[in-house]
Amino acid sequence: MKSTELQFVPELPDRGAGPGWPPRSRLYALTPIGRGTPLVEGLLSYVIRLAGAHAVGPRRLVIGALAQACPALHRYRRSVPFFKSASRSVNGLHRFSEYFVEAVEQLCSVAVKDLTLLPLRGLLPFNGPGLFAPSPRWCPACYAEMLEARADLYQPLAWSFDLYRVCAKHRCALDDRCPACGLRQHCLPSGPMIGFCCHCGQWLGRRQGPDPPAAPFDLWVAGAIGEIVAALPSLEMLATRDRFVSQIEQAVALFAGGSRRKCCMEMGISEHSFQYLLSGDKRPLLSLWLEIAYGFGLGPVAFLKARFDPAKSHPPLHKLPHPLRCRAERHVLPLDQYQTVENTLRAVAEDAECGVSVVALAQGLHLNRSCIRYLWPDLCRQISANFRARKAALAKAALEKQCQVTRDAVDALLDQGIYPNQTALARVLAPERISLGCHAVQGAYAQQLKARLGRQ
Amino acid sequence: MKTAITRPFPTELLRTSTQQRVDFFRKCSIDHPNLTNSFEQAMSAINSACGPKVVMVTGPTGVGKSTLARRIYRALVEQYSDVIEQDPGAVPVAGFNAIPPNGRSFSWKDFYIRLLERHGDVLLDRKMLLPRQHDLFEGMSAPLPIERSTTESLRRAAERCLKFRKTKVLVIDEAHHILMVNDPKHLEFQFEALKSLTIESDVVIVLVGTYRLLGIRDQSGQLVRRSEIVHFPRYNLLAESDARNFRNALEQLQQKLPLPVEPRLTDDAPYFFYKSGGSVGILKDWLARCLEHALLRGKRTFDAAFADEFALSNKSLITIIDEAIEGELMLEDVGLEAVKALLYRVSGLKVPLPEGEGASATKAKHPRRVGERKPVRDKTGEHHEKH
Repeated sequence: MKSTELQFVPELPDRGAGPGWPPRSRLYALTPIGRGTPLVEGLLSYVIRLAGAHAVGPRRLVIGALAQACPALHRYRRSVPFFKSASRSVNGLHRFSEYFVEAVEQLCSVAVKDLTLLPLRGLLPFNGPGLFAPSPRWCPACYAEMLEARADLYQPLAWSFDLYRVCAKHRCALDDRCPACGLRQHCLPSGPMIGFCCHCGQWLGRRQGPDPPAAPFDLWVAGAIGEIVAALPSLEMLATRDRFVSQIEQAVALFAGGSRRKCCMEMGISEHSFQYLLSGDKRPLLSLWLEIAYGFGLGPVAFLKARFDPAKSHPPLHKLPHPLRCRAERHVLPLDQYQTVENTLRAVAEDAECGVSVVALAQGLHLNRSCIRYLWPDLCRQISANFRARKAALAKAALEKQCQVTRDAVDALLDQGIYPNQTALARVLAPERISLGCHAVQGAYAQQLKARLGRQ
Repeated sequence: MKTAITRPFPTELLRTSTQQRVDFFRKCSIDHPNLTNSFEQAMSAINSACGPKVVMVTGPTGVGKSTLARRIYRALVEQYSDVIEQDPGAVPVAGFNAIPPNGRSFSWKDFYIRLLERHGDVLLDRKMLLPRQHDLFEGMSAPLPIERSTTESLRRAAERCLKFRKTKVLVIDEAHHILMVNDPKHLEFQFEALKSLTIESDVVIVLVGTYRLLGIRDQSGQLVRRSEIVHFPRYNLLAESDARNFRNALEQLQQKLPLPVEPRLTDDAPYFFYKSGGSVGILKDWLARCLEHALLRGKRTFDAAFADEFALSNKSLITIIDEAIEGELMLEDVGLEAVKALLYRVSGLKVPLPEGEGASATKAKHPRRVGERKPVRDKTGEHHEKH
């Protein structure tokens, strides 16, 4: 049987006739942990645990096994950024989620769609910003509890959300850096040891200490996200944009007499929050969903399920302590500064020999790189092109110089009556930090040798 | 002459090729009391809640141990059919052969690779050495694992495989190959590896092999404590019941021979017993050879005289029977007095032994190792002087 087959039948050599085996899953059919609870496991954690069960690295499992079942994953097999950070989208609604779900379900014969946010595809946008934290985070006390209970260490799906900043159980802030080496963790590490730093191997757990108390609103957000992930198996039909919009309209009619502006002001959210949702076909971000649910005094899933009965009394609207998502600072410059910066950029862009990067320019002007890229995109593109060309030219010149030094060294050795074999030449070139391993230098050496010995 | 309808095979078989008919006969199986008793004893040991972790099915060569292993495997698959239906990844029963070493000691690396392959595992050349769950503790630093597929990493992978595939029973045929080491001092490591596998993975291991397996009993007290021996003996012509059972087995086999005319072999049952050493497996292989040659020569049937041409040589039989007798002697237990004598000696009490127990106590103190011949079996004098 080929290891590339998605299933296998246990063979028994020379065992004769007997009861046939139904096909077995190629990979172990691990049971996802915490299904239907706020601490349900994420798909990334499931894949890492699956790799550990097979005693291989998670990256190796993805390349060697999951990519067999889903060929779309092949293109990422050499992509280090994918394994380090981009794969965090596996837990969400991204195409990575679909690839991984398809591969895991074929190879393990276990339903894992509700270990991602795919059941919420009808509600949340495909490319919502700030949905997931840039690197894995964890609750040290939860890890310590899992270890003490001799349970399997895993990463709940809720931990991967950027808005989930405190542990709902231990009411302490999540960590995102190793206490020993201070580095962030990789989403899909090389080794399958959950709970241990992927760089230095240090244990990431810690018994709960005297941490400062978590803010009540952060705790509410954590509980709300837990409510969403716990209800994922049953949310696919309910969590749709149309349902969400309909619930908003009913709630606004009930709580604020139909006035969206009044509703937004009392809840403390932007008055345009409802506008873009109700007028077009935009979908709400997770942060807006949570803000709206909080404002109406409900959990996010309860908000979708609620029946807003005008005949019944309702509690007052809740005001948000602070917006969940901070808007990015707008790039605004005074007119004279704007003109000065533009002149500087134009001069640099027109000088092809200048060779300054956009980052260096921004630092010199005491501005943010994203600011000048936002305000002067064409000039920045030209500057970057000039910089790259200048770097290439310098590199070419340096390489040509190395080749010339090599030719001169060959001539010098021959003039001294020493045959310039690679060992002798390498000894001469070492102080110049020139290596014969470079293809161009090796070519120059061969050509010069042929030219000199041919002449002789 | 029996009609085709009463023969225990389809009549169409008589019109097939020689190879097909021989394959049919080789794959058919019969029930006989020794096989049935051994099967029941083995299944009882395997299914016992507080039973042994290692079940050793041992017997002389050619008695039908592999047939018994097949039957045990099929019965267990049937028994765990519910688990197989409910869990798409479960392999509650697995079986494979222990391969003899390639000139040196038994290769555990090859053993683990075969075990993992039998369970459909992937990436066998990329295994990592990972700490066991119960080895983790708070504050520890787990070294970053390296892909190396060493024996140790394959062993850990095998333990995990048995756990996650929910394997309950592992049937290993030709298990005596595990005890093939180039230095007898290394036998202890073989036993420890088996013991560790049963403990870490919580499976029952069924070792099927020759009497060499009894070396486990003589070497490792720990493994003995966790094991049970199931003896699958040959038939003894001197015992009337055995003679009758062997005759019945011969009759069943002759009925299954796909020949136009059923041979009359039971008339010469004692002859067939002598030339098979009382082992049904040897008898069946012999009859298969007779069948093949009878078909090639166009014969419609054959008799004892024809079969004699394809029987094992008498020297071969002596070797086989010799080993069988040796194994049977090893299985004979000693009296309780020998145990008492050893206990009293160890406790330092100078208690005189009961008369006649000195020899047996000595025997208990110095048990013979596997392969060590009984002194009375070899000639002395001229033969001894040569060495």
